Amino acid sequence: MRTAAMVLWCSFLVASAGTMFCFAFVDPAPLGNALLTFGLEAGRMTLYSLGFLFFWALCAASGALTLWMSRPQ
Amino acid sequence: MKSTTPGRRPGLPPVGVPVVVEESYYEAHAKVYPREQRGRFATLRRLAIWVLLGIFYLMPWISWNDRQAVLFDLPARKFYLFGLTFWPQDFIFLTWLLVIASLSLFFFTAIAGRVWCGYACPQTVWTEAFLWMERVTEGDRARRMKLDQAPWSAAKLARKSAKQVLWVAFAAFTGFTFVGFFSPIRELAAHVLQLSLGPWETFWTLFYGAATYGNAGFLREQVCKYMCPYARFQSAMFDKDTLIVTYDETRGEPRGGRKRGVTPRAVGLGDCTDCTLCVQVCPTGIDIRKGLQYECIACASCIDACDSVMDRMGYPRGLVRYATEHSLQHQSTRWLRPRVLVYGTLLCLLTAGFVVAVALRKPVGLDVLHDRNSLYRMLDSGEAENVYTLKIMNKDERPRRFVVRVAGAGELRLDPANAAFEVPSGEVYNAAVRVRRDAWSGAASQTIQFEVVADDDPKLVARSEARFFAPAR
Repeated sequence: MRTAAMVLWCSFLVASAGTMFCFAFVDPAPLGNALLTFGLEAGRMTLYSLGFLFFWALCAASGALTLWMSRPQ
Repeated sequence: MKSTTPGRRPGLPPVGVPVVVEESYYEAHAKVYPREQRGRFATLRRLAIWVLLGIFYLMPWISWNDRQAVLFDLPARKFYLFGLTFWPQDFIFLTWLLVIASLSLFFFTAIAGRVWCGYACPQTVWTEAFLWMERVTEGDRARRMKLDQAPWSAAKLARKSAKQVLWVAFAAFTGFTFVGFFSPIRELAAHVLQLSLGPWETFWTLFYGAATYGNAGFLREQVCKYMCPYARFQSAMFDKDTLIVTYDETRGEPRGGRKRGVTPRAVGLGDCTDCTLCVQVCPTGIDIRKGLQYECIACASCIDACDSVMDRMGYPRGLVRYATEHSLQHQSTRWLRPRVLVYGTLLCLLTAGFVVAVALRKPVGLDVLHDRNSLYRMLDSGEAENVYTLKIMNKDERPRRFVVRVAGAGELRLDPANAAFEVPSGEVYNAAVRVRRDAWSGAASQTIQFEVVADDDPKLVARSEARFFAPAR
């Protein structure tokens, strides 16, 4: 529980910064149009939110892996 | 999970009083019941809370030029800040602003310690608000402790539920207001009332609301102790001339109880009456008399508490006070130190630079895209024609009419000849223009310059380069 909270919290901080930086330079709207061909409707709000959750998951995975690899043998 | 054990942490609360140990998300800790304290610094903090929460909750409702004054319109990729409109191209300003914010944090920490934590941090501000609701429903410190230890009864249930109702409502409104900075709040409010809030608006309202509830109602001082990155590195900005909340040990010790009117030195005591009020008011549950501790968020509640006792005892105030390490050692405090000068100079330069850059920011922008499908088209007249899309950005407060010009080697002709486009305020206009040149009179590929000029202000101009293609000989 303690490690999970630590990993989630730190990855949240980094993912927030990463999302801001990423979407300042990349407009996800074309991706939304591409998804439209598959019948999925995704506005910018959806893509930003999914982007953030994706970054969060990514950072959490990295953090968890680091902790797991560095645990005492 | 709750269990009751005799108090082990010295001074909190008086030994013998059972302490509720709560299994938290981070580690087992004794629940802190901060006592309410009035005084100079409490008043200052209350003022800061009113101002900051007032700004947060009212700001989205303020209008400016028929739109929300402060709106981070993510779907439209535009940030409105009163009269200014920021675009993704202006990301540098946001970064710049963040650098200024962190430098001011360093600057003020070097001078006055953790003033940010004590008075302005959202964690402190919302925790105080939640504590106030807790006091309203559950009573003061002693009552809250008694209530937690009492068996469940109708009265306890009523008080606890009243608190939860207040907390949840306040947290939900906070989440709603937060989303209101990103999505026009009046429309958002209408959607809430019609129960037609979009899925992501609902998600972020609940997410931020839950974060507020968890941080301010539940985790509280643990956020400062375990979660806050600033708390971990703030000591790097400290030196012996930094103001800290500190206990004057030479004056206070040996501590001990005494009757009012007794001269402390006559009975072999210092000025500290060991009333433990400074411990009871501490929101992080530490004893300031043990010296500077990393848990201390410099809220100065202990100063207010101690001053009130000193007043009652007829001793001079300031047994616990804001002081520097040097002043406690009876040395003079140096305010102007290399680190303060460096932080201060950088801060001034960056702030001045920011103001100048924003003031000089051109309210017009231009991007040119060459037609993707064909490099050029041959006309019957023997001319080569290239098609471009001009993205004309009007970041100004009012609509503008922009005239397009093109320049480059050879005789370039623009079609339409006197192209001019009306661009509404805060919009990007996609204008299609054609450029023609005698096919064989120049290079097969050359650079040309596009220029858009506001028709009523020749100084308002943006330029962009593009390639012009013609058949190779």
